[in-house]
Amino acid sequence: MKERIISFIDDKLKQFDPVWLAENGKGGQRTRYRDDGSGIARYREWRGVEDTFQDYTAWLKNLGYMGAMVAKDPIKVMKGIWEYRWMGSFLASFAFVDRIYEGYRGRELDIANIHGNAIVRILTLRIGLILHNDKRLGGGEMTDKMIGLDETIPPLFTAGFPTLNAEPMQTMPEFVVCDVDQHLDPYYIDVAESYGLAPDVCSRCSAETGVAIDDAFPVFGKLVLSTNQPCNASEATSMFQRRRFHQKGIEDYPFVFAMQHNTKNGNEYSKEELRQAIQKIEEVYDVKYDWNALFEKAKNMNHQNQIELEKWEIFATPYSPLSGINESLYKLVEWALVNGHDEYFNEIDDKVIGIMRQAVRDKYVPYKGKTRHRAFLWGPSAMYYTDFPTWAQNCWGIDIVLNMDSTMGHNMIDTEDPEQALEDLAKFSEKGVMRHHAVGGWDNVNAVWEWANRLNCDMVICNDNVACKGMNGVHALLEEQAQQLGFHFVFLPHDLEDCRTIPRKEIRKAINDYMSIVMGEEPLDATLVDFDDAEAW
Amino acid sequence: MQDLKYTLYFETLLEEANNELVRKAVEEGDIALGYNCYYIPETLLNLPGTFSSRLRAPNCSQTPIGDYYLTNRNCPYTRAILERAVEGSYNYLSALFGAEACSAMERMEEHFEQIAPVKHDPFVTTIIDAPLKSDRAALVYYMNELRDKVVAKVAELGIDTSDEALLAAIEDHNEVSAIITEIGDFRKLDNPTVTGYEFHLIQLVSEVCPHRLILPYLRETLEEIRNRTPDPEPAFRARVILAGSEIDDPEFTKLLEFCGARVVGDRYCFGSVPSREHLDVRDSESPFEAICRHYLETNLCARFMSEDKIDQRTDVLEAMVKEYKADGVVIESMKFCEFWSYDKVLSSHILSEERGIPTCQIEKDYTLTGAGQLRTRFQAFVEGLEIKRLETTGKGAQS
Repeated sequence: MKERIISFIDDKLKQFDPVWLAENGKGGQRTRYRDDGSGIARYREWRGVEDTFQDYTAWLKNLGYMGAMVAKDPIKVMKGIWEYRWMGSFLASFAFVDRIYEGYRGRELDIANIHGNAIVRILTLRIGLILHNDKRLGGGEMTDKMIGLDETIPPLFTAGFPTLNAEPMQTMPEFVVCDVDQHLDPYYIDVAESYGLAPDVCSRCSAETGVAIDDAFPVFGKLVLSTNQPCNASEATSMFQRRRFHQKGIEDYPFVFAMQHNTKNGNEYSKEELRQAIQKIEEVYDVKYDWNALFEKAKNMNHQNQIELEKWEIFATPYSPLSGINESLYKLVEWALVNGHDEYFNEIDDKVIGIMRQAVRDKYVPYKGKTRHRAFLWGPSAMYYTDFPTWAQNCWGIDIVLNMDSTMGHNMIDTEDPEQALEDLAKFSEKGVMRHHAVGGWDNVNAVWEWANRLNCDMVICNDNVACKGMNGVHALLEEQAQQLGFHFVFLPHDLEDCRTIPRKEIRKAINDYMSIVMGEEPLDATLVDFDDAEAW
Repeated sequence: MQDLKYTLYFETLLEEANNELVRKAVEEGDIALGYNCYYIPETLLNLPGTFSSRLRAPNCSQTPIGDYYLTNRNCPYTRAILERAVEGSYNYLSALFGAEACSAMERMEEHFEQIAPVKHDPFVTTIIDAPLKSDRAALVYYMNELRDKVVAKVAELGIDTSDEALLAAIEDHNEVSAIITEIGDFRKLDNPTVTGYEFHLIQLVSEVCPHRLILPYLRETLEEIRNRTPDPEPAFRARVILAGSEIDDPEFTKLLEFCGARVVGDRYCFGSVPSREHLDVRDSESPFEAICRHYLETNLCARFMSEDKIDQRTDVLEAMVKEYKADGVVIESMKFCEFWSYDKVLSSHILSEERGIPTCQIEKDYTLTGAGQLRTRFQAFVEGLEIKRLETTGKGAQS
């Protein structure tokens, strides 16, 4: 009876379902949006009774997390919104979550909302913690027990300081928030450029520099660990940031890793650097490193990585309901931000791998079987176009099976011997965000074909960050390799965090042109081929 | 002043990488070892039977092949080097020792292996990972990298890399450095007897020519400058230090001097600071360790991240301003250079706002395109320095 009622309602309301509209040539995903480029939808996506109910429940859960953050310390949160330009951008989070999971149904949506809730939960917890302890907003009980980390330093090693709390400096003001609101970082980039910084440097680091010049970093802790991860511009921007931190009475310590991270010499150096960074924290905070505390969190990380390795096996099959931005955004948060510190993410992983195993058993075909190409997304992606993989799936049936950054450190960490753990941690930490395959030599970049073969991809989409000197330097070699090996290969131009240089529409055009001109294919959803979202969050 | 005897000859030597002296040395059986960056100690490449060749791409105005491989959004120096490599300009080399100092350089050097543009047998390419700090751990890493990727490879070419050979290389380094330093010191005079352009030529030939063949010319030039009569009145309006990245075109220095400046100090990648400091072997140090320590200590690369090295960059510039009695500093960065884009802005801020030293920031291509715009900038800067001096001393031109 229940199924019949649901089926009746689904049938009656199908004209509001963009997937049905696209299938029947009556519209598509963009039908429900206003035509003014604002990216504002006139109504929420109708996904059928069950999926809409599930999605709405997840939406309410996100609302609950945000409400809890505000309720915990309403004054600091309000002060934070007043003080920091970037805080305002987080208000676009709801639109962001809706945008990245657009068109998802069934098990893809189940996993997406499990992940989405976990991401919102951890971000609200961390934003709340930072604001509560921000000296500028009055400080809190943890203010002097916090360590500032460059956002690209994997924080697992700080688990050995259970009485301290390590927080990434740039993640909230510049990095994650760019995913949510594409119009924030251009402001900080302009600040840096008006100070004299060349416009051809990496926009992520330019934005970080702008945050430093604009004095928009939250203020906490006694020490900030800067780093050379992932690349040249990161090293360079730290020069500006350290001056700002010093001005706030916070010491800076450069915690560097070997750039050539696959060599014996490099690993030894990174290990020594890690040892020294631990010593530095011990000195500054007058605490002793607790290896047992590290081992406990390392077990979490190992568990996550074991599941990750199993996920890769499932990604190689046609039955994975996890892919695209759903996979990469969660992985990014889980690896780069959580990094074993939060057991809750183990529960999430257990739940998700359960769904994936069942999908394989059921031979479940995701995206209603509309996938035409399986693509590996290589190179660092545009932060201001997080929903690109979703668009590629909905418009052209290109399933982004895996993203380069999802291959970050996945070696297991010894949980008994400190010396071995240090070595494992060094190897693990060297393979961080935007780094594992983007720097350290041609072989690391050239590994793309092995990955693509392993995951049964027929296509490689290579992010072409126009300001990334390292990846620019392998342009022709990659193209020639693709030709030799017979992969469909597309360069996807973008400017990482500056949506003005190459807007989302132009990014889409690269795929549109390739799919229509080179591949001679028709879009799955014609409303997604050419639309304006320049003004959208 | 009367022209130096070898000015024209030095200019000719700088017209191409495979110049007359390089060809002569190779014909006589010496092995040519190429490098791009100060992270590769020149001294390690000047062993008995080898000579170092710091790669330049003179007169390279178009880089279609470099653009194809590295894109036109990348460092123009690296594109020009790759262009020249594919054209066959470096076919005299037996090796290229690269450094992962910056991504652009590293990628360019990788192409020496991937597309094998150098037609020479044998030819090897290695790339060291360059440390970002100067502490003991960084030195050990630097030594391991240089030992495995430079010294070992040189030995494979049949070259003696023993302590004795390294000591001979250190002696050679110190002799060249002593000559260049003494020549450079004439720029400290109130009325310098060597121009910035001439010094740039001299410094460059010492980096791109086999030392044993260029040394006689350098010695003779030093003697000539010692006895040189300066112009009765200085032909410049301001003294400046030139700082920046890969400035290997003496025409750039000439352009700056045509605008009324006298370049009295050179603190850039192909300059004498750093590169022509005396190299000491301390007690309990092997010659190899001494070389590595020296190059790490003196290295002023804009990529260093530790506080001592960051401060060293501006401290050295400030000290040079005092030592060479400079009126200001010109800080150059090459287009698409991440490190110098940042360091130019920051050093300029520190020097001008915190240390009261006038600075001029410019961005340029590898070649002298946009010379007109640069001329305007330089003229305005020199005029500004002159006005400042007039305001403080009442004196116009340098006396």
